[in-house]
Amino acid sequence: MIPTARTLLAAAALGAFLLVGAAACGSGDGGSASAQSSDPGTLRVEDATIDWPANPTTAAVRMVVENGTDTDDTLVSVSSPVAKTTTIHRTETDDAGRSTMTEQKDLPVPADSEVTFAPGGLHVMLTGITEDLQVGDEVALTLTFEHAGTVEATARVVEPGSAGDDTEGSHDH
Amino acid sequence: MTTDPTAWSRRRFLGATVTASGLAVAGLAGCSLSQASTHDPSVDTGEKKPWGGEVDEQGLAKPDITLTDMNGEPFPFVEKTKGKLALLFFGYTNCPDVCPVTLSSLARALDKIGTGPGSDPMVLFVGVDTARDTPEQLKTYLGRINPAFLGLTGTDHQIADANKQVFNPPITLEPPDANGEYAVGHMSKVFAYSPTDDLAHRYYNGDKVRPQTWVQDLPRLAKGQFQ
Repeated sequence: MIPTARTLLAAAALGAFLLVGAAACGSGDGGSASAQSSDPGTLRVEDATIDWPANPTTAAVRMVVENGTDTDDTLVSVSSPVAKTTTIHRTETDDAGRSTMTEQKDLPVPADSEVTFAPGGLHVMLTGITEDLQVGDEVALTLTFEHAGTVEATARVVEPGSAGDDTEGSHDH
Repeated sequence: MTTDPTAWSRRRFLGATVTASGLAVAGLAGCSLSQASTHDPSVDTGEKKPWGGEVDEQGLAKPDITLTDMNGEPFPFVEKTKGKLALLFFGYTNCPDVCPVTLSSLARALDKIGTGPGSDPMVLFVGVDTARDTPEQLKTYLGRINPAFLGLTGTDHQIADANKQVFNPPITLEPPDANGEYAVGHMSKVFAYSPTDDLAHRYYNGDKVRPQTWVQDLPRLAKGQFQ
């Protein structure tokens, strides 16, 4: 399992730019936040947003990964051309009450389910951001899944906290 | 679904050639959906509204310590905050989730409150990651959230002391990754110090608090109420 994931991760890093370019010339369906997938319409990314970052080099992506297939899948990596590194994190509270972050190297996305990335829970951390992000910008993301392969998505840069207005009440705590 | 064409001209698509109109449409659709459910609550501070956070009737004392503010001035905590509604939060500027969510929620709430009681609390952010949370970095960071928020720094020892005095568990630095990035474990409590008796009678787990909760609680806290 781990060697497979590593391989996919490396492939994603290498392929990210090519895939982003290809996506730009493709999909015009406009119906969902996901654009390209090896299995279109079944494993999708919805409502991807990035709070306009207070620290210009570090930001968090929130989104909903919707697996409408009947196959359990695993999110193995996310990449974005605007960030030097991307890490899938879960914010947790440790035994002492501290907020900590744990890297999620292989995130299960079970068949016929949604995984929500919301404040205080999962996020994709972007570090080493090379662009001066502004509210309204659209940021390309490439998600790599063990079975579905790569899925392209677009995250909108939004006013800080505005995505939280919608999600804070609904995420599971 | 109608779209405002003027909004389009400002949009940039980062990361691919700019022919991705399909992607832009997808992004905008998501935007409309999420904004439709954003309601703008009225600034009603009715006393019967439930409180956010948790109450500490006995009250927690302020850290008796002099830190340094982001402008390089000494900040004797007890003296500077005396008789004011002060909100104290320990965090770090490379924190992608809890800290910006907490501070942005407060900033949004203050925008909504506008004027009057609770509209000008002292918001004090202690940067616990002293290697990266320099005074300049704190200024940039807080300036982008709300320029009225004040960043505090000090030596590692002083910050650990302040953190301990409010009974927060010790700050932990995680091992750096291949790029030298590291996470910091810190308590995410916001302590609300009363202007009446200078004790914190209520604290909030910052990233779980919606702006509306602050809109309801800050005017009451400013009057010295806590339950």
